[in-house]
Amino acid sequence: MTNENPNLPAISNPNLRLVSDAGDEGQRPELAAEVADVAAALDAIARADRLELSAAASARIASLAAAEARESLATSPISLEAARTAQGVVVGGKSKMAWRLAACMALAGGVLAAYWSMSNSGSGTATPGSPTVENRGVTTANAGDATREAASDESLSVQQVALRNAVEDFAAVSELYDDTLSEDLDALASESTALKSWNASGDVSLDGTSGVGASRGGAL
Amino acid sequence: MAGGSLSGSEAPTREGSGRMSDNGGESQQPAELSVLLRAAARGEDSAWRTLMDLYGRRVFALAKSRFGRAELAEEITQSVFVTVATKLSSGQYTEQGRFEPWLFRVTMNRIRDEARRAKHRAIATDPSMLTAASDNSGRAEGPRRSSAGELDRLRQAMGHLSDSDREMVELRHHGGLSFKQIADLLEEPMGTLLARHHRALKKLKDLMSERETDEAMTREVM
Repeated sequence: MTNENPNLPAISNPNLRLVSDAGDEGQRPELAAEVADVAAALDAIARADRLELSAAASARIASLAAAEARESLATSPISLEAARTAQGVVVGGKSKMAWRLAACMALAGGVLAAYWSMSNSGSGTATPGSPTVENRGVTTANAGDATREAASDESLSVQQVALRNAVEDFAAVSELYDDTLSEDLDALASESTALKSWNASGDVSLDGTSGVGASRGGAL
Repeated sequence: MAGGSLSGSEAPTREGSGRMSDNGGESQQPAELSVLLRAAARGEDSAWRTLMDLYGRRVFALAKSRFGRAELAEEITQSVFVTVATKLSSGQYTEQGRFEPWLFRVTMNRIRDEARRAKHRAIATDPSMLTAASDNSGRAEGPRRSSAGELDRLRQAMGHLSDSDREMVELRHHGGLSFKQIADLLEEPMGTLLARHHRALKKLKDLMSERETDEAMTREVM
């Protein structure tokens, strides 16, 4: 069997439709015509089925999906790469979204990389990759008074309080702070083994003179 | 086949107006879709309303065709869009011009899950019930085959296709996907898919003819 179109390769199997880059137009007309009535009836059924979704239901689903997206954005573990995707641009500047995404990352456990890079870059930029902060080391000695007092009152380490404060600051900036987040933060502060291991190995610190840490009354 | 082609610069058509992507998946994705998906990922209501306008009815129709129950189709549609919302916002889907095939992959997976879970509940696709409906329709409207009767027979015949053929036919006609998109989605060569589609429609046609003959004989006996 040969093709009518000289630009297409010859095919030997008569059951094969000629395929072109145009996609649907690759169907051989005579074979398409053979089942055209069935195809038209299927399209008619499809049109009827589509109309059965009411406008009200459509609006309700849209609203639910939007709410789900917001919820997911606020609570899901978010990688920096994902954050960049969601934002559509490299997360940068001091936009609310950048802070918000940073807060999400913090809650997800990617806390420290995001926080350190943001607090030390001075630009509010969450930069993918490992933190390159020179000045690290939250210790009892250099923590602010408020941090030490809170740690003492709540039987937490200063590092845990510092972490919580950092995340709260992010949340406040992004206007995401609410009761749910507060509970998450409490849980995070009390359960964070990541911070302990980080501190044990990395001698982490915050620059208390700039960035969000400054709002906590000096070095954390 | 119904449905017109869209150029790359045209906005996607609204549902009910035929196939949206006859010239292939990636090339017809408007640049605006990326913007729309980013807004959707941020949870903007208007973006989701637009996405529902663009795709909601097609997803719904796919589920409705499979299960025959509007309320279940609505539930599945909701589930699909909530899943999409989660994946968009958490960065699990990265828009690279393939949103539509991805959306329908999510839809097909959801439908397959439901089919496995609720096979016994798919009452409306029970051939005997559809036969009854078709018979009633035929008697009420006389010997001449009515359009409604034809469609009933076609719905009934769909139940006799293999799952994979039915899926392909529904993606094409209810989902409104192009053959190229379906080929990508099902990971099948285009030639194979086109041949399979033709065979499936031919089988549907034969089944409808058989049913029509049976109905005519039944009427003669009565």
